[in-house]
Amino acid sequence: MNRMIGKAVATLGGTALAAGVLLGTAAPANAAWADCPKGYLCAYLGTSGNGGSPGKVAGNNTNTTQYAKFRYADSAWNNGNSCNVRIFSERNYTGSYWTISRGARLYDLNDYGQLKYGIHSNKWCV
Amino acid sequence: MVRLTPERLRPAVLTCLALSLLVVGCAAGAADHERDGSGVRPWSGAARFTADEQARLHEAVQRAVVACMRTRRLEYLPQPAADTRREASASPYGLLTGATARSDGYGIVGEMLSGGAGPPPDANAGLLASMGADRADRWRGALLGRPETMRQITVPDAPAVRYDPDSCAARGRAEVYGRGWEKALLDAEAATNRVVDSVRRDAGYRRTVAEWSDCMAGRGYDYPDLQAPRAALARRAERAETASELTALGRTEIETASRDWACEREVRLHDAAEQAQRRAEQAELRRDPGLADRLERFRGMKRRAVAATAGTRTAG
Repeated sequence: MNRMIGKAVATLGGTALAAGVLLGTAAPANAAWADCPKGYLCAYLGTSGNGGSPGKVAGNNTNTTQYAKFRYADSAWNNGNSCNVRIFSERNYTGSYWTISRGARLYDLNDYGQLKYGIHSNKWCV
Repeated sequence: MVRLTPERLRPAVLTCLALSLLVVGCAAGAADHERDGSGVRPWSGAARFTADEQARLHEAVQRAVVACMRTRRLEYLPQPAADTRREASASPYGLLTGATARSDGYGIVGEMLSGGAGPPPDANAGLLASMGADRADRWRGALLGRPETMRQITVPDAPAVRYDPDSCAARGRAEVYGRGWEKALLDAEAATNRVVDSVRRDAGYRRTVAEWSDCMAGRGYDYPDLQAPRAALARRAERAETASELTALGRTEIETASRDWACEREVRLHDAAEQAQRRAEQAELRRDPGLADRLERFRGMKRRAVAATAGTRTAG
């Protein structure tokens, strides 16, 4: 069953949208930081928000590796309204991490530490 | 394919909810006291905050954001703090405590069933919905910043970060932590991550992980490293289609984690991590002579912020 753990929790609580994953929608191929909805953490396959439409999550996720845009993320944007978000190099909030403040963007994840191998889990409001 | 629905899951939810209530209490206890050694953290946990500290600091920042937005003649409702106990107690190396292993396992099924799907609902969602598009854009610009006033911060061995220091979100953080916090935090996290990465590559640590793997094999588990049981259980959790499957998986998770923790103790994995961490920290201090001072300044900012919020937790 192709879904994130966080999404499953949300479905149980009847609030799928809050924790869900938006599947990619079309974005201009060359628009940096494109297509990141308000309220979401967005992960891009290219540095500096390039690489087309991002992967998007609004909830906590103990495992984001099944989603290519997180598994191979090179940049990320916390476009959430409410909180900081922490991204981890391993599942279940373990490994190395970066804290992305509300409204902040990380430009080049691919160059530093274990996060260069992608985002494996994320936690909001830390 | 049978899909999970609230109705189909209700028995599991109820069973596991009881488990999760136990879990949260036990995990929090373990996080607060770290009785059995998973307190192995780079730089003595310099970049780590307890769940209680995180909640207090979050609330202090929210109060500062409210005040900042008010100066811009905009209303802002403070966002409630989230429960971060599971994250705050997690080891960067994936090491377990006995209490957590026995009650929460790796936190996989517990996180699924204890409301850990996301942050608290956006307190300002209704407010935003009542605004016209122009005012909502102005509100978000005041809170989160505008592209034209973004500033970039860089520190060695960390990704470049861009944020708007004039945004109320950033001003709120500066009010609570002090000026220069964004850069200091990025630097402290980079220093922490370098140590975590070094420990994972450390020959002595890797040998001990191999011994742990042999220990687990002796108990019937085939896992090459500490992440492997988490990956296997997460895959099963994602495939769970019935309530009974998920309930059973919760039990399996706790059983596996309990064996995992026993093997960690048997091969003295926490000691190996601590020794590797010491070697990594010493190497970092030799490589970067200014690091000790920068970390001390960071600790000072953190200490002052935490102290200023003592006893400020909002009831409920």
